[in-house]
Amino acid sequence: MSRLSTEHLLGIKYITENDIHTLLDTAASFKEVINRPIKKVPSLRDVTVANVFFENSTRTRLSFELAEKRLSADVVNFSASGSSVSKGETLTDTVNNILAMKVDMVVMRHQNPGACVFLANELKKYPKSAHARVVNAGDGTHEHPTQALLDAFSIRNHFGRIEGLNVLIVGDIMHSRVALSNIYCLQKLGANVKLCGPATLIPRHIETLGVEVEYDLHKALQWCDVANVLRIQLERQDIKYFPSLREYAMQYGINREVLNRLDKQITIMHPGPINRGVELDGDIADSEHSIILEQVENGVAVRMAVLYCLASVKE
Amino acid sequence: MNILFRNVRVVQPESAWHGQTIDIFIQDGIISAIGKALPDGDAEVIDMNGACVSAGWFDMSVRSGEPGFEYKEDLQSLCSAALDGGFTGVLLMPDGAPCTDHKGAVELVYRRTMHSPLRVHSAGALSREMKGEELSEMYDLHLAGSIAFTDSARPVKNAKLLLLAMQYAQSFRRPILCISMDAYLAKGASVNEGPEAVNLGMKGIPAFAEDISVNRDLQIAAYAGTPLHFMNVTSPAAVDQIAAAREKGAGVSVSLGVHYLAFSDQKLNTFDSNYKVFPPLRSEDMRRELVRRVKEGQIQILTSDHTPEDREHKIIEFEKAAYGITGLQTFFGVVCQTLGTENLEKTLHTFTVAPRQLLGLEVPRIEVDAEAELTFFDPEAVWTFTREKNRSRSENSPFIGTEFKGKPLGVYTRRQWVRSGL
Repeated sequence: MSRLSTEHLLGIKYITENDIHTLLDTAASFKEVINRPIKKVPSLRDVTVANVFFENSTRTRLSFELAEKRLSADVVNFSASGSSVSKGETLTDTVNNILAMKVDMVVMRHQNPGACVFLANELKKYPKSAHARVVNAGDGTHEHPTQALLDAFSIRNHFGRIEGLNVLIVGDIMHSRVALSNIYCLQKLGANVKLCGPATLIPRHIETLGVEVEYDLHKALQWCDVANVLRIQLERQDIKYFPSLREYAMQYGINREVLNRLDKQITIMHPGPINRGVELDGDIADSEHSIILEQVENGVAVRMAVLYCLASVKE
Repeated sequence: MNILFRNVRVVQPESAWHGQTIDIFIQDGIISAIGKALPDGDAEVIDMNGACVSAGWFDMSVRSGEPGFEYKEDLQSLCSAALDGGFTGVLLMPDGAPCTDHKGAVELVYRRTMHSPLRVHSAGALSREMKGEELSEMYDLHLAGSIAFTDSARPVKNAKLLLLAMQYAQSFRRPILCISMDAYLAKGASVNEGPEAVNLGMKGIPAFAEDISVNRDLQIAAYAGTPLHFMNVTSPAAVDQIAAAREKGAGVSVSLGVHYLAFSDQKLNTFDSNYKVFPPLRSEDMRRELVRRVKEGQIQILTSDHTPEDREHKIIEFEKAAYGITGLQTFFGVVCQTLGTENLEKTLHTFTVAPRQLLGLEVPRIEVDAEAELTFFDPEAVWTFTREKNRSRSENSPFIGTEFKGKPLGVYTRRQWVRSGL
C-alpha cells in the first residue's frame, strides 16, 4: 500500500492528489469489507481513537465511530457539553489530558476555523503527545476533509471517474466547510467546479480558487453533471443573509419542477442533514436522481480508509 | 552624577550638530557641553564608537495590563521593555480594568512610574468604561494628567459621541485619537477580506470598512473644526483620504503600528494568533502601499502598538484568541527592516518629533543647556530577538527568533543611563 505524505488529515488543501487516490482506493477495499456478513477487520487492534466533538454532530460522529469499531479500534467519545471545557480549560490542555490516557488518534470537530491545524502544531511541542494523529471532522467554516473524500468517492463510484466532470455546489457557500474541502478535492482530481447561490452567501474573492460563480440556478444546473446541494447553515449566520427560507427556496430550492426544466438528467448529492423543502425537496432527495444515502454508506468506508492510512504512517 | 558620551553621531536635523560625530557631556541631567574631544572631567566616560544619537524616542501607542491584568504586563515590566527598545517616553492607552476613565487611574499610573527613567503619559478614555455610550469626565482626566483621549482599539460607533468628544476637548486643547472601522462591516470577522480569508474559510473585514468610517470621521472633524488623529489606518485608500484632507489644511494625522509594515495576511496560513491584530493584517499589496505612504509622509507617526496578552488568551484557537502583539523591544529592528536606513532622519521624525508635537509635548533637543533625553542606536548592528531578551511579561511576539539589523543601544533620560540588553 502506498503511504500518505502527511501525519494528520487537517484539510484537503494540505494533502496531495496522490494521497487522495490512496485514500479513495483504500476506501474501495473497505467498502467491500463492510458489505461482508462479518464487517469487522482487526486492522486497528490496540489503537485507541478519541472522538473529540466540540460541536454537535450526529452523522459524522456516528460514521467515525462505526469506522473505528469496524477496524477494531478502541473508541472513546468526548463532547464539549458537560466537560471541563465549560470550566475554562484550553483546547491544548483538554487534548493533552485525553492523550495522557494513551490515546493514539484524535478525531476532532470544532466550531473554530483552523482549530485542527492549531492543535496539530501545538501537540508537536509536547513530547508525550507528539505521536498523536489528528483527523479533522469539521472545523468551523474551514474544512471538512472526510466529507469531501466521501463525496469524491461517491462521484467516482457513480460515474466511474471524476476528471472532466462538471460539479456544481449550490447554496450557502459562505458558512460551509463542505464547500471549501470539496473545491480543493475536486480540483485536485481534475473536475470542473462551479458555485451557485445568492450573492450574499458567496464569499468575495472565491474565484481566486479557480472556480466560477453562477447566480442563475437553472443555468448552473444545466451546466453540471452533479449538483452537491448544501445545507442552509442558519446557526452560523450572524445576520440574515436572505429574507426568509421561503424566498430562498423560491430562488435556489431544487424540486421536481426545476429538474424537469433541464434537458438532461443530473445527479443530486447532499452532505446532510437536509432541510427538506428548503434547499432540496423531499421527493428529489428520495428519487432516482439522488445518491445521498450512498454518500452516507461510503462515509464509513472513507473514514475507515483515513484512520487506517494515518495509523500506518511512520513517525 | 556626570557622564560623557564619546564618539556619537547626531541624527537630529533640528540640532546644530546634525550629522557630526562629537562628544556629549551631561551634568546633572543637563547637556553641559557638546563638541569634539571634550575633557573627561570627573565624568563616567562611555565610548559609543561612532553610534548614532537622537532625541529620545516616543511610542504613542502602548498598553499595560495594570491595573487588572498585571500577569500580562505591569507598569514596571512595561517601562523595562520600553527602555530596552530605546524609548524615553510612551503614551499609555486607557485599556485596563478599570480603564482610565477616572482620575484615580491616571494617578495610579503616575505613582507607579514616577521613579522610572521612562516618561509614561496617560491617555484618558473618551467614553465611560470605553463603552462608546457617554463621555468620560474628560476635563477631570485632563487635570489629573491625561494628555489625549481615546477609546483605544475600539472604534467609536456613535458619530454624535465622537463629535461631542472633539468639541468638548476643545476648551482644554487635548487631541482625540481614534480607530475608524465600520462596526457592522467588521462584525463576525477577524482577518482581512481577500483570497487568504477564502483559503482559511474565514469571514474577512473589507478594507473599505475603514474607508467609509474614515470618511465619516473626517467629516465630523471638519464640522467640529478640531484636530483628529487616526490610529492604525491599514487601508491605503483611507490613508489617502486623510492625506487629502490634511493638504486642505485639516488638523488630521495618521499613526501606524510597525507590524503592519512587516506582515501581510499571508502570515495567517498556520492560524498563528500571534498575527491576529485589529485592524487585521492586510494583503501583501496593501502592505507595500503602506510602506510607501510612510516613506512619502502620508503616515506621520509610527508606533509599536504594544499589546501584551498572556498564553491563555493567545495560544488558543484563532477566532477565540485576543488581538494584539507586543513590540516595544523589536520596534526599531522592524523599522529598519521595513523602511531601510537610507533616510534615517526622516524615519526618526515619526517617533521622536511627530508624536510629541501631536500630543503637545516638548521635543528633547541636542543642545547645550537642554535637558538630556537621548536615545543611542546603531542602524547597522545585527541582533536576534530571543525569549531570554524579552522584558515584557507576555510572549505574544511573532518576532521571537527573528534576526534584525538596527538596534537600540541605550537611553539617557531623567538623569539615568540605561543600557539596552538587546
